[in-house]
Amino acid sequence: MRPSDEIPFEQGDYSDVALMLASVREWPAEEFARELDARVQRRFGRQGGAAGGAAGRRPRRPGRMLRWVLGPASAAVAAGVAAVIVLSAQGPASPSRNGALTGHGSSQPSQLVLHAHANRAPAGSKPRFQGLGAPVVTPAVHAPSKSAGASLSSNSGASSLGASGTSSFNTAGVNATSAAPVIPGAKQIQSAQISLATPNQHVDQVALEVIGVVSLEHGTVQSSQITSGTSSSGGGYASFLLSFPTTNLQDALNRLSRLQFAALSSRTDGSQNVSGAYNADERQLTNAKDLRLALLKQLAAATTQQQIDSIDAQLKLATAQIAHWQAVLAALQHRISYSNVSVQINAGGLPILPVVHNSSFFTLGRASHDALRVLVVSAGVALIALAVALPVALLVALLMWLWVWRRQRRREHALDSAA
Amino acid sequence: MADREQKGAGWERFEALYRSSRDDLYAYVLTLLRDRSAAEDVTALAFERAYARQRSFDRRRGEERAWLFGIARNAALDELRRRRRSASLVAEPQELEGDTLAQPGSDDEELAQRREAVREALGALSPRERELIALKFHAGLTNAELANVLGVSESNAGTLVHRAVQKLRRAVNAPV
Repeated sequence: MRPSDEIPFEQGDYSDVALMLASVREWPAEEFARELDARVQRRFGRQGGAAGGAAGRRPRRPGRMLRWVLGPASAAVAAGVAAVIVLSAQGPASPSRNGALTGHGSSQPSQLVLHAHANRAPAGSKPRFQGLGAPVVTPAVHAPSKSAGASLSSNSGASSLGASGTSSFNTAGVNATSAAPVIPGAKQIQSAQISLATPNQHVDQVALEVIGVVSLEHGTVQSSQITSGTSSSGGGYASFLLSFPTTNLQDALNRLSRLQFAALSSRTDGSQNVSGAYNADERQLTNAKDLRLALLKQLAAATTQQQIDSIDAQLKLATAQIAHWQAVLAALQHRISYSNVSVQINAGGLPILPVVHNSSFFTLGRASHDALRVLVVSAGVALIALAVALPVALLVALLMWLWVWRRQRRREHALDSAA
Repeated sequence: MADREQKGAGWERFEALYRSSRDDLYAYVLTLLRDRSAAEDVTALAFERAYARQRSFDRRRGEERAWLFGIARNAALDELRRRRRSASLVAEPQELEGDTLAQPGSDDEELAQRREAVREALGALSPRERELIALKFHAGLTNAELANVLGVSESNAGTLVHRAVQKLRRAVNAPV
């Protein structure tokens, strides 16, 4: 007989079996039935309700399992929201640290990362574009200060930087006067990286502004690449590798950070202390010169042709060494005297126009700007919270499914092994 | 006010379910556990759980009776698991003795022999087959409800019941 032939009728076909089983059917004892009736009438009240054994266990409240499932997920969401709030709260606190980038160098001079927001209201109220990463534009007018670098250097602790120590300052959206620490008297190679953001249609103008700064600060363009985007959504890109006299570096960086059509996304100032290498090269050069001088004296005192030839050969070697070390020193000095600056201009993203607050009164523009900021931050918080909560919720759901599946499997196994 | 009325209606429905299912549920659980004391405990626990979970009942997923037997089944299987874990502390499941059972009506010798043959035939079935028989004939579930309780398809449930019945018939009619 095939399995398909075995499909029975619902009723009627089993009447003989039903009669047979009715004769051996078990009935509950009267005492138990009475007790259970009483418990049901009491609606399973706690008093005297526990019949012992399995029935004596406390029943689960409805929704308890649901809370157990949703508990970790909601905790994860709360943790994500809290993390985002903490991260976002760190941002607005930073503008008050305008120009206060001191006191950190002695603790961790080699890798100091400061997060601050742009605090650069345009002096001439020119239209400026504020990147999404720099949320606050304060009304304070900040004048470029050349002394900022000096104040940093005095606090950063020269002794903590080794002979070949390097330091890097990443100042995303920071005011333009921040710089890597300069150690007085030390030979340092300085460099900087600047990332600018601008609307797609202004990439060329920003590139022209960069060239203008190079001309103004007596720098040179070592390499450049400009890609114009065709769509309004982005695609434009430009990169420059510039070289400035180190004495003009801070002014150049300040100018590059304050371009008319671009907003500063990030700025990294780096410095490398090469005093040790410079001094060593100088010693080598001095030694070579001393050797040459000594050889010249020996040559003057030489009497035989053989001595003259030998000293002459050594002189040639010493002269070559002097030339070598002079070239090395000159190259190093050039790297010290001229600093490389890498500039990247990225287009894309809808810039948020800053509102210059000329007064503390309520204005429609100010309110709409604040509302837009709130919306952007809220959307960011929601997105990050979702990114945290979704995998956690999926994981919890998977674990729950596994737990239920495993429990059911154990139950079925218990039935199978009951034989 | 409306909430109170809703609760009152829910209680009446539960009470009706209890009245109509108490004995059947006990018979079913006893078939699974084969232990009167444990069957009483699990029966009470099943009703208590059903009462506590009234709101989780969804009529679209089946009748209340099938839902109740599903709860009882899980409780009984949990009891079997618990019994397995504490096997050393618990006596072996007692075999049901015909003499000690409460049976309605009078009994003559031939009928007693017949009952004994049925009990032996039931004992020869596997636990799953016994459960199917109990769900079908003690609980009176339809194949659809039975499938819902066991977590199988309706046609599969029908096939399984049919096989169990055939096996029971053969066992009862087998020469001693």
